[in-house]
Amino acid sequence: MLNTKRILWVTLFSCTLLATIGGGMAAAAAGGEIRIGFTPPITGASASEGSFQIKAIKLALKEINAAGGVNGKQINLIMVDNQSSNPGALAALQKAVEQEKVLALIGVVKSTQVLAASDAIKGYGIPTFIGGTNVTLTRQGNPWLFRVRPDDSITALAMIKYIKEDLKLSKVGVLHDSDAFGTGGGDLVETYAKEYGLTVVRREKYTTKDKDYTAQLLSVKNAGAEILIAYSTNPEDAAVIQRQYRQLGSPFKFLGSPAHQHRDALNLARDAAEGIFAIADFVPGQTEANRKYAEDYKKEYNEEYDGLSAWTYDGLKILVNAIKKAGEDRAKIQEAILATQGYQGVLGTFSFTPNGDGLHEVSVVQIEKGTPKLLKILNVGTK
Amino acid sequence: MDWPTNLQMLTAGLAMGSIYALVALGFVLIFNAVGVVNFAQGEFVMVPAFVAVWLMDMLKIPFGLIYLITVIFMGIFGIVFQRVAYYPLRNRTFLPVIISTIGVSIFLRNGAQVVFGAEPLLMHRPTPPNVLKITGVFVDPQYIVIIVCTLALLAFQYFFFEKTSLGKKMQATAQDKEMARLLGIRVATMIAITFAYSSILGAAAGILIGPIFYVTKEMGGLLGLKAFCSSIVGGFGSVPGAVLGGIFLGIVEVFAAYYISSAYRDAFAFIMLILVLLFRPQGFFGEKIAQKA
Repeated sequence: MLNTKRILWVTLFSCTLLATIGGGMAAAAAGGEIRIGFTPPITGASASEGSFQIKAIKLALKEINAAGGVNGKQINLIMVDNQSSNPGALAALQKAVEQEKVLALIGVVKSTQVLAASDAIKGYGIPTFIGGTNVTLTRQGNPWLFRVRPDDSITALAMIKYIKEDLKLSKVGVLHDSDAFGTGGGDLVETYAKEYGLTVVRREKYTTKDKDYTAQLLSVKNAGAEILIAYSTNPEDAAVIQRQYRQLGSPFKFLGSPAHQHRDALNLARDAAEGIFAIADFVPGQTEANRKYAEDYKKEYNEEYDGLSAWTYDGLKILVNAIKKAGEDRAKIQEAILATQGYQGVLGTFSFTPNGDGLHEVSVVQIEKGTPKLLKILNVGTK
Repeated sequence: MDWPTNLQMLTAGLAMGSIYALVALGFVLIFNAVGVVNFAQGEFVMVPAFVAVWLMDMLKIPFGLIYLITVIFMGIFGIVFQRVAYYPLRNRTFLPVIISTIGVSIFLRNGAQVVFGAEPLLMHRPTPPNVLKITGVFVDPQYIVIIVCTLALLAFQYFFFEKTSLGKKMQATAQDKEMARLLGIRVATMIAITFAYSSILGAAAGILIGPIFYVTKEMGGLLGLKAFCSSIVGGFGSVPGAVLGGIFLGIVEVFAAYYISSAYRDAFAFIMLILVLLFRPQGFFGEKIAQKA
């Protein structure tokens, strides 16, 4: 089973490779090509995510080349499998740079793989787009990493800003998963709350997959919280929390992490989710660029796009725009990417900071009739 | 003291404890009957939950009928389980049987994912979703249903084991298989019935918690572990021990999470386990049994 699947993938992969190389060669005859590397997970645990990333980036590639490519040259996208692993990500990077001689890279989405490949990327000095959301990735002094998704700190900051400026509340209770994502989020919420003059009256934790939150919710209520920030990792847990919050008589307002507006959570919580606030990376159909992407994607693949993979589309577009301005010089491309301000992408408006963070906005949504309704796109500015 | 808060937590603790008690009872009955811990006991909760959800989606029939079908299904499931996982190994030591139950548990989890998918499912509630407010305490009606059903099941079980001939035969088998066989009791049949009954207890737990837990392939894992702790805290092999151990653990968890630390909520069950094993290894209700030669 695994073998046939693998063979299928390899065949598919080889075909796409041949097709792109073939296409590239034809173009090369006309006016040359620009080789760009892409290292998605084609095999291994994340293979299904990888297939969505490939679909997203190929749509961008098709549009770019159909519009005449860059400065008269076609883009040749070289895909190298990262095998869903850290060593694989590093090996894929090396192969792309040393054998395939690519000019720039669309890298990986897993933070741990970004960290594994980071030193090598710095060593090569090659512009690389990443989708990992761990805050530290762009703060480790590597000028070649460009993040095209909102990092984890933006969610926390947006929560605090929204509570202070829009809801005008001051006493905050925090409930978070005790895993790395939840604890990290809880820490950031506490830090920003202090910075913005809000009081965290109570901070409670839970273990992933807990089923009874009575103790935590009551403790938050009795501490006098006006609003609860629920920093959950999993949609299932989020749904249970929402329901028990509702059953305690909704004693405070509720603002959740993205898991709280996830489709799975809303399907489970149903009525209990009505009226709660949550943060979303983006709301489908909120901008012109987003709507167009949804349509084009549907036309191309006859299915809905995957929200977690659209960053490869935005990444390649931003990279190509930078190459248009800077030519084929890595240092100049780096400058051009950092100079990108106000670019309207699928995921939102990109404005790069010197750190290499492109997105600084998330959406505040409220659950209405089982779907997240956009209240506000919150740009937390460039920190 | 903050009475509404404490009462509220007591209700939640009692409800969770009742579920632990049901699953722990399943452990104990099978252990008494065949001397083996059934590590698939948690899956005995997960399977009926999936079956009930599936039935609810497929057939538009009243809740009662769905529960009845699920219970009958789980009775048969218990007998098949016994036939597959225990019976062929009955003359071996306990180790192969334990490994076999672990194997079945892994098979069931992954089987559930293949058949029902990885997404958590919603089980419809027989009770209204709105909470009842009783003297300042918010109570989920489902919690009350859980507590009442557990009490009813325990009463039934007491009557069954103490007053009926079949129950007495099952008890005799659990106490001494050799002697029971000499008295003309069909030991193999009694064991099969015990498995069926354990499995039905799982069905009760699955149906009761399905609406508040959501149904996932992993739902039996932690539940099975906590129930196992409960039965050891109560005194492994003791029926009242399993019930009281479960309820005790459920209540301790909630109160410890509120008054001590919510981060270590799940740890308290296991801390209790270690304390009991250190200071009262026979459990609260277990009798000290000298090792038989």
